[in-house]
This record gives sequence, C-alpha cells and structure tokens, in this order.
Amino acid sequence: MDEFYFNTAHAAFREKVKTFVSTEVTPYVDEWEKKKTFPRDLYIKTGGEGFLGLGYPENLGGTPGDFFHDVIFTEEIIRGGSVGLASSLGSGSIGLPPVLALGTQEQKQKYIPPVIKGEKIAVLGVTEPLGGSDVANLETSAVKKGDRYIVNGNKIFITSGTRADYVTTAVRTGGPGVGGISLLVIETNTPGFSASGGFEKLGWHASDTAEIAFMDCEVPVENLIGEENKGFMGIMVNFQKERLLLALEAQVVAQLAFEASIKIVKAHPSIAKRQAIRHKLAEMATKIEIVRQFNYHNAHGINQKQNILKQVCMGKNFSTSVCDFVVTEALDLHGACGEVVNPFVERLFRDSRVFSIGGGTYEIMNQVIAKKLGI
Amino acid sequence: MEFEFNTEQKEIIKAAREFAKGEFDPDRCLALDAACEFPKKIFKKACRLGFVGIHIPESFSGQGMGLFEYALVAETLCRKDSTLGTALSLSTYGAQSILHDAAPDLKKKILPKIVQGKIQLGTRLIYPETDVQLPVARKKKGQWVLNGKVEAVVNGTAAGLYCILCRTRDENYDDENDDENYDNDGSVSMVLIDKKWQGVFVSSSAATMGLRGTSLSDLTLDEVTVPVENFLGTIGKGLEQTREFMNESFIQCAAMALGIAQGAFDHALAYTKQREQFGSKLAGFQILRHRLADMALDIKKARLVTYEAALSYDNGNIDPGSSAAAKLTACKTATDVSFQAIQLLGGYGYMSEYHVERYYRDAKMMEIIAGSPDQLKDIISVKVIGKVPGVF
Repeated sequence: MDEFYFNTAHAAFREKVKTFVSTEVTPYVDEWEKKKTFPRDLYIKTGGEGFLGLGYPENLGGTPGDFFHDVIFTEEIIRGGSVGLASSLGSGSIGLPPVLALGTQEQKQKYIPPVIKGEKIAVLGVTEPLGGSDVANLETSAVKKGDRYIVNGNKIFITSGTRADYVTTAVRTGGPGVGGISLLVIETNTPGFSASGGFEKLGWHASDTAEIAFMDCEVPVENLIGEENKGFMGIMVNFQKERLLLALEAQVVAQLAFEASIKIVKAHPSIAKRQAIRHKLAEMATKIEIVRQFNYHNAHGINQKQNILKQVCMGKNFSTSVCDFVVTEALDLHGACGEVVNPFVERLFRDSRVFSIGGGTYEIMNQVIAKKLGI
Repeated sequence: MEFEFNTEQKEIIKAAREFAKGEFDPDRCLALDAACEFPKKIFKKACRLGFVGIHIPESFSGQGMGLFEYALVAETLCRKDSTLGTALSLSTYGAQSILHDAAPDLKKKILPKIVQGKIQLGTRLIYPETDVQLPVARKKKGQWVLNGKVEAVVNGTAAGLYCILCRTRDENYDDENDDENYDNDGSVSMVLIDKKWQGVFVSSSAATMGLRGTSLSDLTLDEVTVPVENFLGTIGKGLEQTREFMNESFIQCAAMALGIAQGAFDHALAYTKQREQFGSKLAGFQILRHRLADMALDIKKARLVTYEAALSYDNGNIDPGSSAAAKLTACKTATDVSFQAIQLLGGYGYMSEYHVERYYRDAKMMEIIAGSPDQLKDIISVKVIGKVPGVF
C-alpha cells in the first residue's frame, strides 16, 4: 500500500535520513534529554544535509521535494527517540512558512537561506500567557512610530526560544480581533528583547521551551510580513501541514511504543500466551495502521494542494487519541512483564501528552470540524 | 447503603488535612520530585503525630484503626500532594506481611520500629503471574543461603529491612527436574532480609517516572545466610501469603490513587473557574463542563468501590475480587482524571510548576506497580465467574 505514496526516490531519501539520524541523533538522545539541551551545531549538520529546507525554492537554498519528503523526515527524526529534539530542531518549519507565504523577495532572501543552512534559528511567536487557543485576542502591541514599530508584550511556550535568531511574531497593530493582527520578524538581538528558559516540563526535555518578552523593542517597518492587519492569514497558511506532521509524530511515537511492547512480550513467553495481552497488542496494531493510512491519505491531499483542513483536524485528533491509548497500554504491558522502570517507553509516554494540546488543542480541532459540518 | 463517617473518622480526616495543609509546601513537593528524594523530615513528623501505622495494632505502637481509616488518611494526604502523600503512605508498604506472618518475637521487635520511623521497610512482593526470576535460597549444612537479585524494591533505598520472595530449595530439591513454573510449586517463601547482613547490597534503580518520593531499588544477595526465624509465615507458602498481602495492599494503592485523582480534579476545577478564553471562563463551555462532570463521576465510582472494599475488609469479609476491583478502578480513574486535568490546563498543564503533570506521572506509576490491570482482571473474573476447570 505504501508504494502508492512513496516511490524509489522517496525510499532513497528515507535511507539518507535514517543514516543521518542513526549517526548524529540516536546515540546522543539519552544524554541530551538528561542535559535538557542539544548542541547548536546539530542545526548546521542537519541543514548541511538539506533536511531543513525540504520543499523550499532552490533559489533560497531549498531542497527539491514534495510533501512526502517532509513526511519521511518527520517519521525518521521522531524514530531518533526524542520528540523534544525533533521539535526544537525543526522550529523553522513553523517559524518560516509565514515568511515564505507572505514575504517580499527581499525578506525571503534575508531570512530563509540562513535558517535552511542551520546557521540561524527561526521560531514562531504567537502564544501568550493569556491567549493559547484564543489567538485572535492576542495583546502584544506594535505601535508604528515613523519607520519603526514599538513592540511590547510577552509570548510563552516558544520552542527554541532561548536560541532563536528570528521570531516570526504575531502582534496587534490594529483594532481587536483577527483583523488587527500583523506579523513581524523580530531579530533577537534587538534591544528590549529577552528570553528565559529552563522550565521543567512533563516531556520534550531536550527542547528549549521559552518565555520571551518585548520591552519597547524597535522593529524596522521592513520587517512587516505581508500587509498590516492581514497577518493572521500568514499564521493560518501553515495549519494543515503543521497539524498533519503533528499527527504523524503521534503515529510514530505510538509505533515506537508498540514495537517496544512486542519486543518485551516476546521475551516473556508466559505473558505472550495470555489472550488478553495478545488481543491488546492486536488493538494497538489495528489503530496504528488505520491512523497511518489516514495520515498518508491526507498527506497526499496536501501534496495535491487541496484544502483538507477538516480531514487534517480529524487526523490530528484521531492520531493523538490512538497514541495516548498505545503509550499507556505499553507501560501496562511492560509492568505485566515485571518491568516497571523503562526510561525509553516512559519518555514516549511523557513526550506524547502534549500532542493533543499543541498545534491546536483536541477541543479546537473539534470546533473546526463542527464548523465545517455546516450546522 | 447508608454512608457517613463516624466521629473518629471525621477527626482523623481533619487531622490529616490540617497536617498536609501545614507541611506540604508546593515548592518543596516539586523539589522532592525533581531530586527523587524521600521526605525524611516530614516523615518523622508524620510518625510522631501518628499518621504512619494507622492500621497497625496499638500493641505494636500503631493507631489500632482499620484499613478504612488508613484509606481515609492516605486519600487525604495524596489529595493534597500526590508525591508527598504517596511517599508517606507507602512507608509502611509490606508491614502487614510482618503483622500477619512473622513469628511473635520478630513482630514485636520490628513493627514498633517501623511505625515509629526508626527503621524502614523495603518490599517486593510480586503477584504470582508476573514473569520474574526470584532469588534462590538453598539449604547448605543446615543453613539457608540466599543468592540472586530483586529489582524494583519499593522504598528500597531508605530501608534497613527487606520483605521479599525467594525460591526455597532444601537438601532434597531435585535440580535435574527443576520446574520453572512459578505458580504451581510449593517452593516460594517470604523472607525478611536485614541490610546489615553480609552479602546484602542495595543500589538505586534508574530514576522512576513517578512516585519519586519513594525509591525503587535493586537488591543483590550474595551468599547471604538467612536465620530460619526470618522466614515469614510458612516456608513454601510464599505465594499464598503474597495473595493475602495483595488483598490489603490493593486497597491501600486504591486509596492513594483516589487521593491523586481528587487532587488533580481540584487543580483542574480551580483553573477552569478562573481561566478565560474567547470571552468566557473555561468552566462555562459545555464540553468542558461535561468533561469535569465525567471526571467527578469517575472519582465517585472509584470512591465507592474503594470504600466498600476497605470496609468489607475491616468487617472480616476479605475478598480478593473486591480488593482487585478497588485497585483497578481507582488507579485507572487517577490516570484518566489527571490526564484530563493536564488537558484542561492546556500548555500550562505540561509545565511542572502547575503540578498536574506530576499527578499524572504518580498516577500512572501507581497503575503499573503492585498489580497490573491484566492481573487484576484475572482476579476479578474469578470472583465474577468462578473457576473454570483446566484454566484456573
């Protein structure tokens, strides 16, 4: 069935990513998770392979490819063993798309190539202390004064925030609601910008999750992406891809937990004989397979430039639910085999919990789907 | 079913609540979890105030109350803080095996010390169907000599005594026809090991995901001579004695899980009443109102199953099915409710500062230790259906 989506070029690409991950990532994830950071030069190494510019125009340093290259990279980097690492390494995949979609040639030429190379880190700054799901009511203000915007406000839960060079920031330049939001690229060496990290989290330990603050930051008007008060479009333009890739991440985490479960049950023949255990594994395998096919189906739709936001939201919710089911059962299965401590499966359990929250909560996905049902 | 706490029960709940309120500083709890540390100072205080050994008889320095009162205290402490509450409530885990099975002299010597916090007990009593290798005690020249490893001993690092299972093979044991079938032989015994004996080595297990106020340690036994009086109960009846232990310990775990569930719910309720999005408090959105109602209902069901099991136990009606049902229900509820508590807190739910993620880790740990869901359902199905020839 996979041949429908992946051709020989894709297969070769997958091998290339697998090799990279097995040499540059997997041997180090335990250490990086413990230290709660990873070396800055991993961005350069990853960029050097072309993995940070998949599908971007070649004149910006991009690597030619279709959306299934993104799918493959996501699958293999998650198989490296740390969702936190993958998210932080890939922060540009949410920080750059607004620039690509709405930016001028100059802006694209300035900001995109260095990030694709791994020389600079781009992040997305949208979420605020008082506004997670309620993005439209964001409060970070940008007041125009001559040839600058004066920016004041706070953003939270910013992946890669303490090492960021460019923050694609959602600010209020106009009236209330969606119609008053603009996007600015704010360079982190701007006076008045500060970032703090080191917050303890349930999972994503290798990911630097930051709070950032703008105190009278002066941002040149040239840094406005798209038109003033029309910035919300730039955030929304990437929703499909972002949510599909999150669904894939959940699917791969589930797959990894399932593989670990099969492995340990096989090593305990008396447990492997138990019918309830066998059927539990059958349930896990069934759900993972269905999720996988649905996600690939949706990836195909995205590849065809279709607007399938409803299906993608469905896919995110279903994938995260299946992942939640699989990881909790995986821990139970390990316990049944007498193994109550398993750092790898525990990490999958901890890392996966945020999938139904980030990138649009489970509840917001249902809001979107319900709206699209036309009731 | 008429249900009201009597005066003694009301008083002990109140005392436990006030103790927790005064002692369980939120930052201290976060620090304990981060460091995987047993709360020594608070534990000593809890011992002095009588919160440790609630259902150990007064003749052994306990409070002489029942399992139900233990459950009420455990629930109250764990509600206030899952990590600190479980650390204190698990500190006597295994003591009931000494109470039920130890010879009178050993009991008199050890139990008061455990209740007073002068010595701690590490316990690893596995439910028989778990596929794990046990250490082996062989009789050599009239002496029992023990060799092997025990992993994941609850409270192992702080302990001075260990209550574990081992295979006992006397001089007549036929090694040639060694039957590795764990369950059907009479060669498993329960034994109490002293840390000070030669050949006993303790090492910390890898840091656990949850219940980090309680250590899980590995015990290595190298040619350890075990005095015969340290075998608890009858040599060869270790599995039966473990099943009896589980009848009580399942209810203890259920009570702790119930507290964790309620505590997580408390956090979620408070947050949804004050947090606003889209112009409304979160507690105003119908799906979230229903979510909270579901959580409250799950807790109520778990509470009824747990209380019934504990009260029946104290009335002399010891039923493995009820005990297993309590652990299964309460632990699943704790995991589900704390999962939802994280969801309701959104991004903040993922941050340790907001506590609910720690309740989630503690709840999940409680679900997998000391009786897995699969094992518990086996026990419950025997109660519901009865035994089927050839199967059980």
